[in-house]
Amino acid sequence: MRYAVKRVGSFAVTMLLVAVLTFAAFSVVSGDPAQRLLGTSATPERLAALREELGLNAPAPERFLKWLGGFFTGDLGVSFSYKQPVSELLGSKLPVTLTLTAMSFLLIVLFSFPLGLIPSGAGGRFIGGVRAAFNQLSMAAPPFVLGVGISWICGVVLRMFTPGAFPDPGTDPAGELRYLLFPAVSMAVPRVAMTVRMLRSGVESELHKDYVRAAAARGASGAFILRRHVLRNVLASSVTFLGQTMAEIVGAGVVIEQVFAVPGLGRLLISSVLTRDYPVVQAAVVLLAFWVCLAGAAADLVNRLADPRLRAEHKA
Amino acid sequence: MLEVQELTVRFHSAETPAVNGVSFSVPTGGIFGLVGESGSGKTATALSIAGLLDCAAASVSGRILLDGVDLLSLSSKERRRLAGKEIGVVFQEPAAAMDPLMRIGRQVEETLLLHGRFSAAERKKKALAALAEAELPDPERVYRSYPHELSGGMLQRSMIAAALILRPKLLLLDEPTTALDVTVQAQILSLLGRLNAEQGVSMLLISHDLRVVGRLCPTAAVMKDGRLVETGETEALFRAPRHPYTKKLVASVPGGEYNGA
Repeated sequence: MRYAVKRVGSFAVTMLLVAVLTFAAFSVVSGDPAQRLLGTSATPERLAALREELGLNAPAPERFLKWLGGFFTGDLGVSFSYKQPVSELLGSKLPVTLTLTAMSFLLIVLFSFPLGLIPSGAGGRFIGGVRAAFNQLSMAAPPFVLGVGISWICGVVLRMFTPGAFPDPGTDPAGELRYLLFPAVSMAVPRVAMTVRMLRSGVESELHKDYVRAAAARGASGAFILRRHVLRNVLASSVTFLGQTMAEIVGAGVVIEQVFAVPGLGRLLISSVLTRDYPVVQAAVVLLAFWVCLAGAAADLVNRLADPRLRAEHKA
Repeated sequence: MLEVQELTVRFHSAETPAVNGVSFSVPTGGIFGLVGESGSGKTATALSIAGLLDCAAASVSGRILLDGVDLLSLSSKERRRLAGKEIGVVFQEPAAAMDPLMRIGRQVEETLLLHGRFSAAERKKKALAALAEAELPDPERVYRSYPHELSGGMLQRSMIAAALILRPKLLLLDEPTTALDVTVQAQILSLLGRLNAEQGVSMLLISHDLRVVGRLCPTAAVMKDGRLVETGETEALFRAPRHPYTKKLVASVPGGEYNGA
């Protein structure tokens, strides 16, 4: 229980820091949004009027608190370029990004666990070599290169989907999922390779531990030991890695949404940066950071459930 | 009951054999000691008796007779049927020999799961009895504990309980007290002596420490560079060593206080 309080506390502090830095970066340091909106030819009267309208005349700390409160009340201001409330704008993009992230993560788990945990001897030397080469290649290829490749092969050559033709939100959920499969795969492939490698070396190092030998001395077969002892230990040690992977997907998603023209949070973020639409950028950054922190907290929680030693450490 | 004849173990990665033509026997209900410094081949000897050497890494030749059956002639499946049931093993590092994520009880019971059909209630009952037999206070609590919650001495007692739960004929003890405090060492040794006397389980005790072997084993052999240099009654071996290496070992014991058996 005390642990939970501590963990929520550190979560809150992290998020507050993210909020302060984001606000400072965009609202304080980067100059006068009113000036940017109206351009250099604007009259001083119009500038003053717009500043008043945007609430820019209040001191920075006051603006910060008002903005921070917006995350709880839902009032995050109005987008400069879309002239739409920021919360509405983000709310319409968020499900797409969440779906994409979840799909990609699911693909990673679904493919890397069987591949990583099936004994490495299986398949012989040739298959092993092919696998190693594939591993190296897919880890070396950045997701956006892979994304361009996949959207060309699957979209243009094989016509499995039409790049750029994402269904209008809400009209065709199945079509959305189908479309999102391709960017999800592009993000998953390098991470599947990395996760497989991590799991393999995890299994390898567990197999050399004394408790494996002790189980063998009781008459346990290799398969029995793998199932009953090694897998649990490997899984427990891979949770943190998976949490980091989740965080990486969020970052990679920003780029991949751009490559596949997916109307999600990442794409909105990039276009808003380009148009200097600060209310949108600030809120989107905080939202993505929230998601990353959440993944980390979830990983910690699962870790504690899996490993009694961690539970004991925090009790003391 | 255990007869090792001309045992030779060759690791593929090494030029000289780790064990070179070693022969000795453990009498039924007796305790035989194997003394030597690290690298002398004593652990390789124990592992080949237990069938725990990786066939890909080492080749084993000679004969290991357990009640007349040559273990080296058995298939790996047949050997697994003996492991835990006829031969129990206790390792040097009790903390490492336990799966850190599994409660002690489930690990002590594991042998029952692997050999024969026991209901969950029977397994628990037998495990609690074995833990009590290993002189663990409050076996119920130990049964529910995770390895990190117990001291080294308690873990080693739990390992002994696990190794003896099916009453094997032979117990292999590979440096069972080396990782423990001196006072705990003495307790574990007297526990082993009692179990040997009461259950009649034969034991092969491997140690680098003359005093440990001297306390428990009526007969012993001294091992160096993969060969046995001297075998005999422990008392005589240590009071009047013949081989220069045995002399050196005896001389290195502080105060010469290896109280014979």
